[in-house]
Order: sequence, then structure tokens, then C-alpha cells
Amino acid sequence: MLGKLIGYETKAFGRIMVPLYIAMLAFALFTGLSIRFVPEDIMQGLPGVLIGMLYGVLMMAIIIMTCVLSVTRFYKNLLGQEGYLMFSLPTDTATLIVSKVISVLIWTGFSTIVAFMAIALSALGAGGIEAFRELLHFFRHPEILQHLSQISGVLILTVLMIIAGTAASIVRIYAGIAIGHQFNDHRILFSIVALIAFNIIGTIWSTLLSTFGFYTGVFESLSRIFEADTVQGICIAQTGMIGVLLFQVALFGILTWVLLDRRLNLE
Amino acid sequence: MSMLECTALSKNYGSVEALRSIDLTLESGRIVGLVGPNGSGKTTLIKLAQHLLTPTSGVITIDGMIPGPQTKAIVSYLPDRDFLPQWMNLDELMTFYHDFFPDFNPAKAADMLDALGVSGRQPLGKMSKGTREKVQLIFTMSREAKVYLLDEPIAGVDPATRDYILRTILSNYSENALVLISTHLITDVEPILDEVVFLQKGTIELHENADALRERTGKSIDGYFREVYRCWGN
Repeated sequence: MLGKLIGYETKAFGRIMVPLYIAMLAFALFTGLSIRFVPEDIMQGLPGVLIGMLYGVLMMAIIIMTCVLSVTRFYKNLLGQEGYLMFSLPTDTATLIVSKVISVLIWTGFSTIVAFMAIALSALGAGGIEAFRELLHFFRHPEILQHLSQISGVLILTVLMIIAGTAASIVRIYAGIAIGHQFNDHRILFSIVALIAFNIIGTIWSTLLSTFGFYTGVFESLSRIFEADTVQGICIAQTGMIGVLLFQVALFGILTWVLLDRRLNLE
Repeated sequence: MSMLECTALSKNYGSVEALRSIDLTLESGRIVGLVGPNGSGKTTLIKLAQHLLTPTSGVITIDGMIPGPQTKAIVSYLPDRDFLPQWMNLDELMTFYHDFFPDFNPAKAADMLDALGVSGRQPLGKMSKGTREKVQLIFTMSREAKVYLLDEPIAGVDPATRDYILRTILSNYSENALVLISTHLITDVEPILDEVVFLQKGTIELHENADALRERTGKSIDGYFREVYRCWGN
């Protein structure tokens, strides 16, 4: 059932995001070709400025639409009128919530890939195939490869941290929306109030954790490890951060589940 | 066989009592009218049966099970609003129902849509309100469910559509299924009802066989309803 739900979400996201991706990639290539073939004096004038602006607008549109859809798909599909259908499916509430979170992670990943592809296409358009060869050559350089292998642990943990951070942010927003839906009026306002309250509690919690880390000597030990082996120090700090983020995912996930399963208040 | 059972079932919204300790048993193979004025607790009872709400106290079971994923697999629910994704067209909706409801019968849905002349790749949001309501009913009745919960299926539609909806309910529910129709338009549904449950201020005022009620009172269900509710209103 989880796979089917993710597939359905993919379709719902895709009908809006795919045309945006195609527009972005096509425009990125056009921008690159313009840089290559249009005389420099024209590109430095108004047409160049407009192309640059449009490029920026499309990139922003992808980022904003990914964020907007991540929230509205949850809000409309589960707590709006469509919620009557979704909560009538023969599955449990937890599966519905998990499908939303995984879909957001997938589409955030797609948007990131498309952003990088757009930059690569601009470079390809501007510099031709030669530019790509040079880039590949750079990454094949023995010193670069050796350096990358040394920090591979940090890179993998960074990716995991970004995934856990995105999941924690989105589940926190879902919990805020679920709290807002406990009220019959001003639901969006109460959702925002709940999110502000989460931020305040989060800040207090971070301060308490820092104080705990300082007085128990955890920071001192970490700093000694960091001085002795920087990479190992970063890895330990990242692992700790991932743990904290996963704890947040669990905490806000359970709160969202309780509110949607036990105190559902559909329109 | 008991298909829907409520024991001392209560639901409060804050200080408002929507349902007050009701006891009710509905058998399979019956078409039951759940009638009562606005705010009498009809929709609350249906939402509790579909686990869209949880009881404040008491128990509700469907086929002996507490409402949850297992009961949703055997209950086909029609809410009193546009609940289908408006961006989907009929083909996408067919795929959706086929994917998520194992008891969905696509051939039955296709036949009904054909008979209605609804087709094409138009999204639901672009269809007229009447057509959307028919489509919602068709998809609800195209499941081979054990229980059909129909919340105000004929409210706000024209008389021709009402006839179509009632014919669709009659000709498409499985004979071993329980059909619970919530409505305040009793005249229209009266001909198809086997039983009637009168709700008033969250309590069951009457639960009786439709023919027995007509015979006992010498009135139609609608006539009796109007008379009794006028008294209760006073």
C-alpha cells in the first residue's frame, strides 16, 4: 500500500513539477547557447540581463513549488475534502503520513538533481563538449580522487544529514498543520502559531543540550578528537546531528499520527 | 447477521453531545434510512463507522471489527461533499480505485459511466456539479462492499438525478450488503427502504421496519416523520 500511495503522490507532484523541470532544462541550455553564440556586447546589455533574470526566476520557481507542494499536498489531500477519500482507503494513518514524507524527499531530490543538471546544461551550451571533458578531467585527477576518498565518510554523512534534516522540517510542518486543524476556525493561523511554538521550544532545547554538553565535558572531548583527527571529529558531530534530527522526525511524526488518527477534524 | 453494531456509543464535540449513548444493530441485506433533522447526529454516526472520528465512549463495530483498515476494505463510503481529487479524469480515477480497493469492479463502473454518457479525459473539476455527484456515486457503488455508507446522496440534486441515484443504489448493491442512507429527504428514499432509524438530538427515537411503521401508523414514513418532528420541535 505504501508503494501505491507514493506512486499516486508522484503522479500528483509530477503533473506540476515535470513541466517546470522541462522548462528549466530547456532554458538552461538556451542560456548556455546564448552565452556562446550571441555577441558579448549584446549579452552584456538588456537581453543578457533578462535571460539571467529568467534563469533565476525558473530556479526559484522550482525551489518554491517543491516547498509549496510539500505542504499543500498534505494540507489539501489529507485534511481537505480529499481527506474523506484518503482516510477511507484500507490502510492506516501512519502509512498515509509516511507516504507524504517519502514523496517530499523524492521530489526534493529530483529538484536538486534538476538544478545541478541545469547548471551543467548551461555550461555545456556555453563551453561545448570541451567544457565537460575538462570538468571530468578535473575529477579524475589523482590528488582530487585521493582527497575525495579521504572525506567520503563526511560526504555520505552530509547527504544523510540533508535527508534527515528535510524529513525533520517537513514532519514538523505537518505536526503544526495537524495542530491547527484541531480548531474549527482560523486553522492556518493556529498552524503558524504552533510552528512558532515549536521553534521556541527547539531553541530552548538546543540551549539546554549545549549547556549539558559543556558541563559534562562532551564538547571538550569532541574538540580533542577534532584536533587529533579533523575528519573523524566531523563524522562524530554529523552522526550526533543525524541522531538529533531522527529523534525530531520520530517526535513530530508521532504527534502528527496521534492528531490525525485519534483527533481527525476534517472540513 | 449483524453488520453494524453500536453499544452505548457517545460522541462529544467539546461540550456539545452529538451522540448520546446509542445502541443500534443493523443486519446485512437491508437498506436502512438514517433520518433526522440537521444536527441530529447522522453524519457523526457515519463518520464514527468509517473511523473519521473516534467515539468519546462506547463501541462501534463493523462486521465485528473496530473501524480501521480492515473495515475500510469492506465499507464503501460516500461523503456529503466533493471528495474525489478534482484534477483526476475518469481513467485516472478508475486506476486509483482499482489500485486501492480490491473489491472495486471496473467493468461495473464503466457500464454505469457509459449509461450516463460520461466519458473523456476531462478532469472532475471541469464537470458540472450534478455529473460529479453521479460519478462519485458510481465509483462508490462499483465496489462489491459489505457495507455502503451513503451520507446525503440525494441532497442538492435535481429530481431526475435523484431518480438516477436511487435506481443506481437499488440495482448495484449486493444482496448481502448493508446500505445505510443518511438523509432528511425521506419522500425520495422511502420507496427503497427496508428499515428506518430516526435520530433526534443525538439519540435514537425510533428504529423500525419500514412496512411495519407504515402499517402501524397508517401514514407514509415521510408523513409520520413530519408529524413527530413537529411535535418534538414544539
